[in-house]
Amino acid sequence: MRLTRQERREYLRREPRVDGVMNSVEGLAELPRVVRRDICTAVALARKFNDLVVRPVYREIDERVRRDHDFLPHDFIRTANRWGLFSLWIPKVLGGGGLDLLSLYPFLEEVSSVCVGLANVIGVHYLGVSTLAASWNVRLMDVIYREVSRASHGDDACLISLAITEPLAGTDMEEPELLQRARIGTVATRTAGGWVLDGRKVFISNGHVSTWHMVIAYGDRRNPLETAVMAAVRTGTRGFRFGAHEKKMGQRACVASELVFDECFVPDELICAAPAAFAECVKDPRQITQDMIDFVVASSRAGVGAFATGAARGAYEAALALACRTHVDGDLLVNRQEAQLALAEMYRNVNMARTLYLEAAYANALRGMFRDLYGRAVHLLARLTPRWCFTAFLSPLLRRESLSERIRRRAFDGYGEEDGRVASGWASIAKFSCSDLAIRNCDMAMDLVGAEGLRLDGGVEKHLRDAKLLQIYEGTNELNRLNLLKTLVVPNVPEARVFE
Amino acid sequence: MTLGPSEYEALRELGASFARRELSNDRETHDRHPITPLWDGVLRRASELGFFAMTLGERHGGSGAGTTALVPLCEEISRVDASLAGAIFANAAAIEVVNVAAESSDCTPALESISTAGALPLAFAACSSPVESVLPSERPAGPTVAITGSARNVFLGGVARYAVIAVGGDAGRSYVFVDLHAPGVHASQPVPCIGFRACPMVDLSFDGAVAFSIGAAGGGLELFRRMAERLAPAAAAISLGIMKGCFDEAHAYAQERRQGGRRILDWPAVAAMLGEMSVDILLGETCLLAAAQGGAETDASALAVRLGEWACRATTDGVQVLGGYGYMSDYGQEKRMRDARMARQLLGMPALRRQDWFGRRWGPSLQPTGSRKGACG
Ligand SMILES: Cc1cc2nc3c(=O)[nH]c(=O)nc-3n(C[C@H](O)[C@H](O)[C@H](O)COP(=O)(O)OP(=O)(O)OC[C@H]3O[C@@H](n4cnc5c(N)ncnc54)[C@H](O)[C@@H]3O)c2cc1C
Repeated sequence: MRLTRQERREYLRREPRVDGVMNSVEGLAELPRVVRRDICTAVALARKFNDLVVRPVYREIDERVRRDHDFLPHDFIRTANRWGLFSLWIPKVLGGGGLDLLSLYPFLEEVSSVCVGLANVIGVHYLGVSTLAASWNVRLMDVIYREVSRASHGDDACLISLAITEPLAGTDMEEPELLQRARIGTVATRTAGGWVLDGRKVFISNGHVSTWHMVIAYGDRRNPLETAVMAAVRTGTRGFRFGAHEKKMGQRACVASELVFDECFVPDELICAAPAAFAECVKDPRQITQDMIDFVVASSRAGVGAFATGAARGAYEAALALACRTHVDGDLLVNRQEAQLALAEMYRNVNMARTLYLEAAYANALRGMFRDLYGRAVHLLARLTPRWCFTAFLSPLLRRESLSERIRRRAFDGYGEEDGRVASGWASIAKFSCSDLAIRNCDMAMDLVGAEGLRLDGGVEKHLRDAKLLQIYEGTNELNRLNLLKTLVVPNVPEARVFE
Repeated sequence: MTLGPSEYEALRELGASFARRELSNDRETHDRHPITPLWDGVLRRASELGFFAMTLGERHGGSGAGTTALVPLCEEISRVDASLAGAIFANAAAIEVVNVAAESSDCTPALESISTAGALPLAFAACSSPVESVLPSERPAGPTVAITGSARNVFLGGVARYAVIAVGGDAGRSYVFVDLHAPGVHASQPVPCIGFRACPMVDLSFDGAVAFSIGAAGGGLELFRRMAERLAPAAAAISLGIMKGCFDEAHAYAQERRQGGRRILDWPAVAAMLGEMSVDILLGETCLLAAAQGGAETDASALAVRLGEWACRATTDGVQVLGGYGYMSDYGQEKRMRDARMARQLLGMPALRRQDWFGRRWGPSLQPTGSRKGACG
């Protein structure tokens, strides 16, 4: 070979670097083999769940919410809870089912291929789960995750929502560079033994049906980046109430709620993160806020990619089914070449989208907040240790504030800037590309099948209504395009600036 | 009939003032049909102003203004709420099938019934061509036919007194005129569908229902084609109106909403979406005016296909400019996004319309690709 070792090293140092753009290749080498097994299990489980639970109800729920705005899908949530779906992807150490987090994405794709709205009810709960995890407050994680797991053995689910967005600040809340210019409405005021929250959050998915809400508020409106407070607020807390919920075009199964805080006192033990908690960290508060945002979005935006892949696939599958029973001029539509070309493109789009969200999921596993859990030894230990061992011995340890603080310091100070950039950048690629492909497939499907595609029972139009939201939440696609640039391009282009 | 510029503008103003008065305040309520009652009052007042009789000859109580008159009217109405334009369009398409047939055959019974229908528009499957549908079958019974089977996706089928329906028989596809109150006719509940919700679509089923033939037996495809040619400018106008309404709302919102310390209009990402929309609107407007006033109806078929596509893109972006608020029914954008998909399907599958136009513009109609009768066959 005409390549010396020295040359190999040098060439590989050039951009794009293999470990920055071929996440799945890295994943093959780094991740334990059981990940594949968990992915297969999750896919099979989702297919069974679709057959027995989702397909029989999803259209009815969609129409029901349109007819009766106050309807909330409690029955579905109870059933999903009985299936253990709200704790299955919580680590076993913290009382959950311990299925590998990577397998959540293909699970969400499967459910979304039938109904993105119902998949969102499950997926958004894990957005809440990962937000709490992003604070690295293991004491609270142990308390709340165990409550979620206990609830899965009972009648009523314990869900977690994430509340960031405010009436006057949407995009601004998703990006540290913009946050400093945001018109913040929700403030946290320090008081004896805790914090007092005042303000309003809007568009909070699962709000009305969640038990816990991860609420982001700010100590100083003019300096939010350095004064962010993340509070765990339980439904029923004094000073906290639900406002209206939104009349959405799609994803109607998943309620989008207004949360109102009026002198709502949150005791210190329910504060997931506040500036003082990071006083011992070497990193400055701005960088810690950036890390927390990266931790959450690297995981959640790949999830939106999975929802979108499901929507793209659902539209394709519905179009194919209709093309197999629609006659045009005596021919079956599926046998006309223009239809075949469209179907081929749609099939391609689904697979392109899947490849992208999996790349992002790999990047998150290798460089996101849980990267340490993928070390083979830790992984093996976590799998083989019986659950009671964790409950009896580890749980009391985790609840000690001192240990919690040490873990947190290690999590933030040990987290490399580049890891955050790669995980966040790939999550953005997956988020905007998959959602754009979903819209493209839905429109192609509607074009292909004609009037039948306009009907709810045609199985196409709902995917379009559902998919549009995927271009908006978790940061609009415009923001995500710019975040890609900020994280993956600009660091190598000193002349470039984003958000100016 | 060609309209002069002043008549054209007068119709535009009529449409705009009607939309302001009757449609803008209750858009969200109307869109909730069938949960909310159908907008009978709006239909009645639209009828009183002659919106359903513009293409009907004066001899039968219409204004005889012709299909061009629908262009400014539908455009302005769609700017506010395209559902009513859908109703005007479906009714006009039904009438036009009869008008075309009447040029070569006796359609007196149908035309007389239409002139006695009062305020009610006619029902018609405005989003499908007969070529792409499974049709109820017909059996000749003297001057009338007996029809059996079902007709899907018929606009206003649960509201209208009469419908123009495509049927299949030994001679091929034909059109018939049906009294929807006659024995053997049943209309389903409104079919939940993506848009035009105040212009509800139903499935009709027929069990030996008696209907009048319109035109020659087997002449249905030709009738549809000629009707579609005349109605294409109106279909294009509906898409254009939706785009204009979408731009109006997005532009106004982008001037008010602030993110990142400035108006979102000042972020190039938002300005680019609005810029793209306004370019498409300008092109559409220019071409449509030329097609409508110059009588280039054939080219309007191509324009309707293209504007249908642009309206889908523009309204998807129109929601995006409003962010999360755009996704909610309190604003008009999500409805426009849904209505644009209906408008895109007016007169049938876009791919077929494209092929059909190409065939007429450049040569004989294309053989269906599934057929083996190619030149080299
Ligand atoms: C149904 C639904 C569910 C949701 N669920 C949740 C949830 O569970 N929790 C939560 O916290 N939030 C949630 N959201 C909020 C969501 O994350 C925001 O809607 C999203 O971040 C966009 O914010 P916005 O709606 O305020 O739009 P805006 O920020 O007002 O954006 C409007 C337009 O301006 C553009 N724009 C804004 N700033 C810039 C810029 N700097 N550069 C370029 N373009 C820009 C945007 O791309 C967009 O096109 C949800 C939203 C919806 C609709």
